[in-house]
Amino acid sequence: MWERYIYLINKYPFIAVSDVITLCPLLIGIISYKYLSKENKLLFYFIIVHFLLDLQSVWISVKNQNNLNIFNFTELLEVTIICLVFLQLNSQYFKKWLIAFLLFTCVFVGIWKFDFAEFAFVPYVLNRLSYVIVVFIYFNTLLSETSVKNILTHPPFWLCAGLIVYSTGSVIIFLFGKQILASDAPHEKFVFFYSIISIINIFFRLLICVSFFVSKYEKK
Amino acid sequence: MFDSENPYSLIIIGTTILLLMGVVLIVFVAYYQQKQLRKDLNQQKQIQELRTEMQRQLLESALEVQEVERVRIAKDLHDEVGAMLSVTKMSFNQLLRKLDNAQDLATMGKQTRELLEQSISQVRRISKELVPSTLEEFGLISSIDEFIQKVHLASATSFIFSHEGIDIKQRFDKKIELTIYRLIQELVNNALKHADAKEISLRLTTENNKIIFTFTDDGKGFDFENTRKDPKSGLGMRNMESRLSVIDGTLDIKSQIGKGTKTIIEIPI
Repeated sequence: MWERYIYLINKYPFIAVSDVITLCPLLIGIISYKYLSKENKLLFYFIIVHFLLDLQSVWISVKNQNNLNIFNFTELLEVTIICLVFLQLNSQYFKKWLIAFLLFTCVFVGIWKFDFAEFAFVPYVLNRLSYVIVVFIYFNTLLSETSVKNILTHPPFWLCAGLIVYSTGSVIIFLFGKQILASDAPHEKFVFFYSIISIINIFFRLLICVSFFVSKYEKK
Repeated sequence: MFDSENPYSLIIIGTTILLLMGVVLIVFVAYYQQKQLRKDLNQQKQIQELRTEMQRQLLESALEVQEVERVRIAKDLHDEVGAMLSVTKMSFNQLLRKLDNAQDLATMGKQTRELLEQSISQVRRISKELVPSTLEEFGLISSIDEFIQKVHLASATSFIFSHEGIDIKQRFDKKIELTIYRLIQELVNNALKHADAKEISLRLTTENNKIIFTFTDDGKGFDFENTRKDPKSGLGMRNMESRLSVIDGTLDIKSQIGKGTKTIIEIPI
């Protein structure tokens, strides 16, 4: 089993690094827990669940079984948490209503298009487009109000930055997912594009680390 | 490098472009938000400065009105009440000459005349105190000199007045001269009334385009912070600060209970 795990690491190094990197926001979240805002705490709990799901998916892949159902479930959970975080960040009724609508749509499509054996590409694309929209909504709030004194120590800004990188870096890949990420796609293409997604994931997790880290400075 | 016919290349190009746009968006938001914030802070600063300037002008107007009113009262006292009293005195003198034979009446008349003379001199004194004519005619040094001589005659307090580097005839801006004069009146009044000072030292110098006035007394001293917070006893101090704020002056008071008080006033010329 251990040999199989080492084999998988060698075959998909970026995916392995991406899984390990999840530990960073987890550790920084634990260290900065007392400084985390309500929204960041929610994100932190999601990171814990995400980490556990990653462990489970690694375990399943080591056993040479299909783990894509876990990926699809994580995606569903992710969109729910992100939308809930942005629901808390925005106070205007219209913005809240819009985010709630996106949340409902994404969850509905996520359940409807749930796949146990393949990537559910439609929800993946829809979720990333939704992330861009919620980030735009928050940027609008950020620029119309000047309540934030130093944006570089404002945790939601780093979360938004992470989400933008995460969404823009992977949306097109998932849009053409059937050609490059499906089980019948050329293997070398799958490895190449999934490595890109893993690199993007690494950036996203690192930016979440920054978001947790700067919470201390904003609270001060 | 990329084959435009190859869909994989297009995916990479599309992803790269989108990613770059995302990064540009993040940088733009961070930059624009900081710019907005700076703009807002500048606006707030300008509004605050305008408010301060408006308050300063209001205070200046109030002080000017006060001075004009002082001049009017002084003029009325001197020209009308003073003149009336003088005429009454002359008329009374004539009456007294006619009452020379009636001894009792003449004594009463003399007493009344003395009262009249006292009233006339009191009116003159009040009139002169209201408007420091010496200040207008001869300048700050002469008026301070005259003021402390008067106070010295009326009290047991001794004064030391020095004016290094300032000529007796040297003139400053009218507002500055009047402010210093009024502050000296307030400080001397405080030193005599509240501090029981036996010796007061006044030092006037100029340095780096500033008039520096140092007032020292050997009185009881006081707790500066507590007095300043007290709405009643801190009034004089706040008045002095208000007067100085009009001419961008600063006030520094150092006092310790039992060790006297030292006040340093700096006014830009």
